[in-house]
Amino acid sequence: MIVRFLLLIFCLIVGSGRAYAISFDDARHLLARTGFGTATPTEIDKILPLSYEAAVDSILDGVLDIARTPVPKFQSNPLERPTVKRLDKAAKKEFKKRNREDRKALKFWWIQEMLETPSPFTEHMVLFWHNHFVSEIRKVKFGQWAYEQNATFRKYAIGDFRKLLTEVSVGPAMLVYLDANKNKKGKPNENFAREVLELFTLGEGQGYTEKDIRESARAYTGWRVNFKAGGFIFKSRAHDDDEKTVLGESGNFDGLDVIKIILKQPRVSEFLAEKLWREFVSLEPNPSESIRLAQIIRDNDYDLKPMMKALFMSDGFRHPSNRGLLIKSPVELTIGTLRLLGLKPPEYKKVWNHQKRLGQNVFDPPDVKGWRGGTAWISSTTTLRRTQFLQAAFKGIRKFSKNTGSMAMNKGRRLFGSADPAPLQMREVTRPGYLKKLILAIEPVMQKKFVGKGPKVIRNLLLDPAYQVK
Amino acid sequence: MMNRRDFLKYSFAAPALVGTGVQLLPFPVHASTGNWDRTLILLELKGGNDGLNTVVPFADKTYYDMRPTIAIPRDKVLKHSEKLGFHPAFSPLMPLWEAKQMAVILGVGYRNPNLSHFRGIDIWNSASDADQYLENGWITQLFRESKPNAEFAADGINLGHNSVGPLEGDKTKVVTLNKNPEKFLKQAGRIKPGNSQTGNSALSHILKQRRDLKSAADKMIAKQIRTVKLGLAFSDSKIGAQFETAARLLVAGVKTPVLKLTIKKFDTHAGQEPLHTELLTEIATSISTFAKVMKAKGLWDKVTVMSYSEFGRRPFENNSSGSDHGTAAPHFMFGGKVKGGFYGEQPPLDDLDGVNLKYRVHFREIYASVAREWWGLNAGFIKEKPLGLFL
Repeated sequence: MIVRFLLLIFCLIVGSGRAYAISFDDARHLLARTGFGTATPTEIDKILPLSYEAAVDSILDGVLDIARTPVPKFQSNPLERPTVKRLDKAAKKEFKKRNREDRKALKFWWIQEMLETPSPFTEHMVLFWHNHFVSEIRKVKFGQWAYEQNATFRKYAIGDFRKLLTEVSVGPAMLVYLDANKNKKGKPNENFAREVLELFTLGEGQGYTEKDIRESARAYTGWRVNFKAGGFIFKSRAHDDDEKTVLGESGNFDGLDVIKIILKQPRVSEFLAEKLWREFVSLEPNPSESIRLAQIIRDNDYDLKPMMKALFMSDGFRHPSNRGLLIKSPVELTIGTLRLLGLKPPEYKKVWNHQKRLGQNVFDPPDVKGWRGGTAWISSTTTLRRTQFLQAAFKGIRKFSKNTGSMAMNKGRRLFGSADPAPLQMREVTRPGYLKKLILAIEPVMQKKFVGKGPKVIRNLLLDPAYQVK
Repeated sequence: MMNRRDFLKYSFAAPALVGTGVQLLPFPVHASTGNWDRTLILLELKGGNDGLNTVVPFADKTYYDMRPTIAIPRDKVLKHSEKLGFHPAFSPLMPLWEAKQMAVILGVGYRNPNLSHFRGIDIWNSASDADQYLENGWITQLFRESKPNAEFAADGINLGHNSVGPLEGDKTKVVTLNKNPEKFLKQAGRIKPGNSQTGNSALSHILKQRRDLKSAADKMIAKQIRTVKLGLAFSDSKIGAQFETAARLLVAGVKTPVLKLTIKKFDTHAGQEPLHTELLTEIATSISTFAKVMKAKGLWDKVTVMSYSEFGRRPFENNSSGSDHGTAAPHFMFGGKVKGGFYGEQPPLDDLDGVNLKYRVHFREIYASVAREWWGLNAGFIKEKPLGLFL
């Protein structure tokens, strides 16, 4: 009793001097939720000496604005496009082939970046924006344009949402994807106007009308892709110069005016706060927290970083009851597992293939609303395929032990390369139960062996249904 | 037509028919008196099908004025009344139309239509009003009210790649089969479902999927669907493959009340032709083959194919030789028990709601027909009356 009391006093004294160091579980949770659903022992070790707040700061400050993987070489230049019509059959076929290859190369490039980045949180945010400002490369066609959009997501990963919205809107990928390029005075195409309100800023049915869509579509008329020099061009001849009324304001607006008008709505910050809550904390909305976080976005003039900090500092995010409540996306399951096991796939195509089969083909979301996420990730089909992926990944470390090190590339289908599980197993030796705490966010479901240094323990942990949640 | 037993069922099932206005208690759930040997085949036309270019008002000059580049030329239309005809791609379906096994419900929609793809399909899937948000799909609601037989492999089998739509909801057992169902089932049979109960909704969803998958797989494996001989080849398209799998399952004797199929790409904002023609051709040839197989196997009276889509498209074409999101559209029913012909009314082009068509038939009237006339279920949650679509 006395010992406990003294301990309490000691803690209070130390605590008042500086905040407590982060616990193992908190560190793992913070890294897994901000990254790809797992945390490696090295990542955890790095933030263990820090206080919780300092750990959050280190993740936010570690955000990169440029990818480290070199830009893929694009064989097809969108600027060649005007000549496509005049190509003969064989040349057209060749052109299409190069385009296809570019698109693949771009997908593999991003997968490599996700696997190797020192800041998984950055790529998590890029993926978040990709699913917010959706475009499908199968419609955009040119890898270069999709790459530019992806770079914009990274540039403003937790930065200025106004700039992000504007730059994405006038980027060729979005102009093509939402037919803004076909929007013309007298015959407006409403696709872009609708999605700006419904998906990018206010949320479906929140504070705008069909009339706002029709009127703002007129304001966006004349936006075009500049095929001669790349990028955006405003074609005044196609622009509707008459007065429009959007969200209660009237004037001779152009598209950028309308975006400014939309951004004046407080609802935009609430919509963002709600979406980020859903992404990082819980599928259960928390209206009072959304309002608080939205206010932080407004107070910082759409700079998102302070709000992201408040989000990760919130009770909702930190509370132990908030563990394992989110289902890992296919990208998280694949990238997170490969990062955790230290596997370096010789071919990114294999990773992409698994992600696609699990329902997440990066750069090619199913439609303009993007991946639905949550329980929609798990169907009867994907249940099975998730298991197949994990078995394939586990092979990468099982084979290693069998072949006693060396490059075990000889036999069998070396899907994801191989890695030595010894460093993981050593930690289990000094701390029985370590692997369970490292690999799972919650207690396992099946009745199996989960403690011990044998490779089977790692396999049981990866294949337990509890590994599907983060 | 209606025997005594049916009449009793309806008098419970549809208070509106009795005319008392008194809300009777729902029909006893455990009785499960439904026609559970019948299968509904849901055919989702994803993206919003252009109704005016599917069932064409060829006699209306306004139609051609509104659509200078995308209208179906008068001489190409398959004419079936003085005013209406079908897109030429529907010619493989004409034998079914003439045999009165194809019903066309005109002007299907609802009040205050929502023109968003996502909200639009949610409304159709959940049978909600435009301003009402429901978690469960309409089939899920129906099956919670009247529980399907326990021996079903699943409450629904999804053969398309999209959401399970009307089967949405954690209480419904749904499995998704795709390209290679045999291989899939073999692997699924090996899965070990976790049995433990949990308060974690994400985890409990995962565990439920594993259990449903295992039980459905075990039941389907026993039926040996690969060995089934269909006698006819299906069209080489994604929807053709889905109809082929549907036929295999049914012929093999796999028991399920619902099969869901999806055909995508109907969001024809730009360059509508020839894409729209291709899509309608794929549908028509697949359904035609499917009907022939079902007839040959004596199953045509046990199946109904029902089309639906999140909305129709704008009567006026846009500047990109395409059509923007619209409202009411025609929908279709095919089957041996379907009472063929036109239902509802073609929405006139000179009496629009703003720029869009006014609906004539509420989509829930179709659901009411399926629930009450096809399955013989109560469907107390649907206020609308059935249309009399079935023999």
